[in-house]
Amino acid sequence: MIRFENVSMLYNRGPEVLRNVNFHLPPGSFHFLTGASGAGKTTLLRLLFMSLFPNDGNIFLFQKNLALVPPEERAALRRRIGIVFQDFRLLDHMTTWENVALPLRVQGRRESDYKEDVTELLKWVGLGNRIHAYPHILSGGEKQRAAIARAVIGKPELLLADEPTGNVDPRMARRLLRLFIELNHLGTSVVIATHDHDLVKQYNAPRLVLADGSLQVRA
Amino acid sequence: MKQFVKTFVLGIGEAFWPRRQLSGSTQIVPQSSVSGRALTAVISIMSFLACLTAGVVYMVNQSADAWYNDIASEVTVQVTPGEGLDMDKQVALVTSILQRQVGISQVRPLSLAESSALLEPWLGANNSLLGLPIPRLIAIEIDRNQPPDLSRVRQNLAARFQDKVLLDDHRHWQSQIRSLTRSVALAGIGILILVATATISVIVSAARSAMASNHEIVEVLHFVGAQRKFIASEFERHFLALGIRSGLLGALSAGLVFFFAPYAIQMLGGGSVTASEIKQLVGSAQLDFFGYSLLGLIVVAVAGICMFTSSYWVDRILNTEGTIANPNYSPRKRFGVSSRQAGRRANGMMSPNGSFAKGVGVVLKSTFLLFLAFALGFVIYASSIDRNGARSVVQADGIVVLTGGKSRINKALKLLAAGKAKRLLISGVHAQTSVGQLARLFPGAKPLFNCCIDLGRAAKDTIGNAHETRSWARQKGFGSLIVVTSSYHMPRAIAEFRTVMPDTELKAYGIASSNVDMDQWWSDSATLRLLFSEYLKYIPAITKLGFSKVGNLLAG
Repeated sequence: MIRFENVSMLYNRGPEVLRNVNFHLPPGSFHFLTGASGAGKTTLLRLLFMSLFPNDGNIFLFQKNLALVPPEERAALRRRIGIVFQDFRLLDHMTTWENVALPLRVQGRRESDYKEDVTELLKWVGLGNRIHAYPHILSGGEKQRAAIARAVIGKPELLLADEPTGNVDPRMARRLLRLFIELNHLGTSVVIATHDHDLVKQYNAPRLVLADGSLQVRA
Repeated sequence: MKQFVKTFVLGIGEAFWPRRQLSGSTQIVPQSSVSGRALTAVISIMSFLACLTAGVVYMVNQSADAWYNDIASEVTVQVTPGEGLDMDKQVALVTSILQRQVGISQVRPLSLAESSALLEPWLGANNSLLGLPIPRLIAIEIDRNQPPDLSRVRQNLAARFQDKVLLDDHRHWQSQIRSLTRSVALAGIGILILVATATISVIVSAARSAMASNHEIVEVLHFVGAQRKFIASEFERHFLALGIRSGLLGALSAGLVFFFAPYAIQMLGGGSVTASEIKQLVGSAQLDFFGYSLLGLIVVAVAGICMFTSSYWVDRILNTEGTIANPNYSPRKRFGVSSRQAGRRANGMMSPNGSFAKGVGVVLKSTFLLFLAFALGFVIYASSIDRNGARSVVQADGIVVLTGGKSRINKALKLLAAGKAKRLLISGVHAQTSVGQLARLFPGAKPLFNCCIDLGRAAKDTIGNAHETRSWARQKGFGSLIVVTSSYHMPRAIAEFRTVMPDTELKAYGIASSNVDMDQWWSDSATLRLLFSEYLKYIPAITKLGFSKVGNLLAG
């Protein structure tokens, strides 16, 4: 699923954020990505998402070397990945339903084909009564759930979540974790970047620990 | 192609139903974030100006065609009074001669009262005119399908009546009308180019702002897996709708102006000029079907400019960001560099536009600008050539005529005979041509050949003419010269002469060539070829002159 080979990354002329990082994540796995603030968690997720390219080394995703993926194939590759940002990135002028349906809409699919799926998913994440609400009137937890729904509506093979519980209370954090575990049980590989130790303790999953630019895999 | 058609259809739909959601769902990129009222107003004003310009040029061309046809189909014969001459008999005689000519459909002599009426605006209305020797006019209508040989008619009249009967074919007016329409058309093209440039600049700026203000939407679209074409089409559609709406607004406003212009002029003129009088002067003063179609074309052009300019810039912005907003960025493929270099470039540490790419861009832009300057220079060069040839010239020490046509030498001989200069140099004469041979060609000028004409046999081209003339002028001590050559050749000749003899005063006397159609130079292939080859020679000549002037300045 994911393989990093001697990946190094630095911004401008600053210090190396990642240095000779090597790891391999099999399909259907569940991993926490931990490390102190600024350790490079978001950078690693962005490398996976082709938002950044490494200064050195190779990243393989779905058996493809990302540096050699032709430009026209990148969008198709991204459709196989769901991503949840810490700051949600919901579009303010669209309703919750429209935000969640966006990944299917950009694929050019007919609304009638996915109308029921989107509504069902929103009910599943507990937003059945907020379908027509705009993001600015949603609470932090509701926004986070809408962002997760948008990430999983296209049935991704890989889910990347950057601090998904950073804006919610511990109760909501546990609820969201259960959601990720359920998705993993349905076959989606999950990588959750977090510095919330309580969250990590709640589920027995391997950890990718980033410190001083190096990465260690801990069971 | 499918995406383009979809964008096109949605853009047209959005132009007419801006508030309505055709697809039933919210627009991903809000229309208001791309085309605000200010932008719509600016593009509408541009369209209005473009439509106004195009309409005026079209109307002037239509009216000028009507004037031209009127003038071209009528010829006037003037019978001048003479002592003891019975004018009525003379007019009747000329009329009967004219009626017998082939190609004349109607001959109508103007009565004394009608001739007097023509002079009324200058001399006032009184009966005393009847006692004055007033020239009488005969209006001739030409059969346009079988026009007469007017020069032969003129010769026949001159042979019979000398200078007492004159034929005027209004050639001067025809030339004036052509000159007017050409000037209006050129000015119109200039304004349209300015309007198009301004519109493109405004759209480029608007596309940049739209991309900047919707940066978050673009990012979200990228990470939900949108193709670059999909993202671009979201913006292009809005710009197309903006172009159609603004274009229509501008065209409708211009259409109203054209529709009501004659009545508005009448109202503003306080009733002194009526709408029907304006119609007499400038034709219908309103646009016909083709005129209004022209406004429709402007709408299409404005919409096209809006769509394609935004498309180009959105594409360019998406391609040069080098981060998540750049799904098409393939560092290794693009630069063929190592993974370390590729990564540095992709993350903005090295410019995606490498020095090679920049160099190519500069070369392409420079080439385009040079080509534009070259083409524009040719239009200016060809338009500036004197069409009718020189009418008069002031006195000078000597005359130099460059060989290349009998009419050139003929004109130069006439200037010499008229005492415009002391001596004439015929430059570029064939080595074996003698004075006697030339004198036989121009029998009337034999005395001049004996006293005041020199032949230059050394020159093979215009540069040679200049050097030969300099030697001759120095030898004779002449400080000013009249240069006689064809009008189309004059700019280059003067440039070469000025380079070689900067201190000599040169006066151009151009001759209109019969084989060169300067009025329609752009449509006559032979003239176009001749002018283009002349232009290619003129550029080095004028460059040489420029360098020579700078050199003289530096030398003090």
